[in-house]
Amino acid sequence: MTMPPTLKVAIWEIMRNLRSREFVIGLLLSPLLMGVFGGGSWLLERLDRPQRAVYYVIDHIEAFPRLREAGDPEHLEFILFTGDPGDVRDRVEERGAHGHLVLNEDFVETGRLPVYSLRGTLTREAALLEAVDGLLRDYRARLVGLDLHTQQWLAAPATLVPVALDPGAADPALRTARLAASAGLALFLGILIFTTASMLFTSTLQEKRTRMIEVLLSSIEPRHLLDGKVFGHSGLALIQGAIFIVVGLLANHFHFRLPLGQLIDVASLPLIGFFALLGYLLFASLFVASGAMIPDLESAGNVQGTIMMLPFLNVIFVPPAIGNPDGFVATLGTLLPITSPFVIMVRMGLTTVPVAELVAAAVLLIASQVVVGRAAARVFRAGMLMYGKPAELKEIWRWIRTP
Amino acid sequence: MGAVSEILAVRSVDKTYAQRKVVDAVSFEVRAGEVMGILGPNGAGKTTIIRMIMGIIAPDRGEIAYNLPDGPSRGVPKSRVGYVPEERGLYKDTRVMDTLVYLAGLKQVDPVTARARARVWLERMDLLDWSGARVDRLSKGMAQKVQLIAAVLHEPGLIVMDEPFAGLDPLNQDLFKEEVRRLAAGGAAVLLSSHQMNLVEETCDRIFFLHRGSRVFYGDTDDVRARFGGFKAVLRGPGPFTELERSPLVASAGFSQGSAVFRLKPGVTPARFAAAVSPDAVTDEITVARPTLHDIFVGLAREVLDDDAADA
Repeated sequence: MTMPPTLKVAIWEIMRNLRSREFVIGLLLSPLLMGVFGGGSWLLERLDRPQRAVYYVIDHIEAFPRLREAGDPEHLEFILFTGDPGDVRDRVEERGAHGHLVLNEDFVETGRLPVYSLRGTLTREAALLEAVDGLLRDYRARLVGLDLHTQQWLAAPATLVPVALDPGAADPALRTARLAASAGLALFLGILIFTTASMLFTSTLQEKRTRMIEVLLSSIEPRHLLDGKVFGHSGLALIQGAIFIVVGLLANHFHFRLPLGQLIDVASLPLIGFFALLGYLLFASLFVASGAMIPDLESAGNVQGTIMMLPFLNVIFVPPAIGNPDGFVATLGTLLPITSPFVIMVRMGLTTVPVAELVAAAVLLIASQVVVGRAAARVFRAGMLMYGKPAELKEIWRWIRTP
Repeated sequence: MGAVSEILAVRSVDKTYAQRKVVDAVSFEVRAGEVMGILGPNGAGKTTIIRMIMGIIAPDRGEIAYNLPDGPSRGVPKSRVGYVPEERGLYKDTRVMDTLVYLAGLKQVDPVTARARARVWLERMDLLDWSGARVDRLSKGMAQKVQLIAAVLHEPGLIVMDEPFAGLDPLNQDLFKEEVRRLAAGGAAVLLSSHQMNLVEETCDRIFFLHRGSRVFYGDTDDVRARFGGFKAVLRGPGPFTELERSPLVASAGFSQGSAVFRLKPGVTPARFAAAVSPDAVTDEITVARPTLHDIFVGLAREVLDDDAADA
């Protein structure tokens, strides 16, 4: 049985890229870069953590033990100074401490506590403030004769407690974690679409520039070539995605240990995959048509630039959808084919998206893929043989109308 | 030749770009076992005709019929036609053998057969050692050989080559010429375009001379020379030869130090001309020969350009 030309092209695109050094390096490098950027701040924080601020304390009100109790020992160390107050500066410098402070009646009265350091800067300021604040409240409460329970009751701040009426709803902590997981999935899809669809754009441009296109079009129909390229790169995206997922799962298993089963609604994954695939095909068609319109990357005009920027529309729609997953912007983003895969992905992690909206989004996405796919095929057919200058809007419109 | 041997028939084909007719009512045929050349200056419409034949672009009017041995076809029988484009196109980052097998696969040749045929062709082209090399490691001449192999690996009945000799060194030109003749001898119909008249003369059985999209001449190469070329006579020696310029046998004359070139009127034989040379003219050497295609091409192109200028 003869293999259809579309499949031959698709397999060729996959094999050619899998054997290409650039693709393999990109494949290995991407999780590494994601790891570096994702874990960078965590790593920096780890590196920063060992530094503790050391302060000498001159205590005139016998509050040092309580200050020590109120301070976070991971960030702060208080040392009682019992010598001549005139010598404290020398001691601070001698021991490499960060400064000194004086607990006295004036502090209890006014709440103002001078902290002396060489350059007037405060190290671990937030932790220091928290400790001193705790000490002051405790000291004043004791002065007026309040017991510990009353003190704590007076000091307790107000908090908001979300209560879901639906017994099946997730608890708030889990909800936040799910939000992070949904946003992560959307970001993952975005990166996948952008990298592989960009590869498709580059591959189209390369075939045009090297005139390989004439050899190909003398062998198969433009539609078969276009479909083969889109399917081939979809396959590459799946391979790339699978590798990323495996790396992510391994990283989670050995290091992060997040309860992924709770964070991601496994039952909704097929639906997310369906919308992700449709979104990928839509962007791939747009990108391949865009590549066919220009002779080289430098001559990309406004039309091509606009197409390349379309995925970034999600930057506008996704944050409001996270903030209000049942709001108007979220619904609009769900129905707009360019943004629907991303917005649906985020919303599904946060709320129950109405079935009618999902059906409408699927219909619109499929319809736009059919229309864009057909237009892309026509642009591809005409644009791939136009050398030397980028296509103008008038020309592109004429190509699209020509059957 | 009978109609069956006409593998390709181009009939009254027109193509217009941006309100400029680049191909105007062009008609010709290519027969099995022959090499047909399309000639013309830059912008004459050669590549446009070839692209229409290959189905890469569609003609505005007219018909292109394919009648390959396995039966006539309405559209381009892509798996039975081989194509070498004007600007060579190969994937740079893939291996030679992989590229050949892929391109043959698109022409419905299974990988095992494609690989076996590719080895034979690569050996013949002295490229077998390079079968595993990436295309970007090949020299320009080597890449052109690979392009030729890619065009014929599926054993097409019709082979279309746009400027196949361009950029080749003399040794490779001879090799290509030989292979083109061999393909035609094997029964394929070969259509090629070229600027290199000596190569066309040595390779093609018939030619189609094109200018600004229209036919100027179409026929056998010998007929061209017989019809458009009265003999060309070159006389070397002290002379004088100026008397001959006024001879009724001579169409035009040119003189330089120690030699004179005469274009003889059609029908004037070398013997008649030799007899007309005065015994008083001191002559060291007389050469009388048919003009080359190059001479005819340049002459015809000038005539057409002069006509255009007169029309303007």
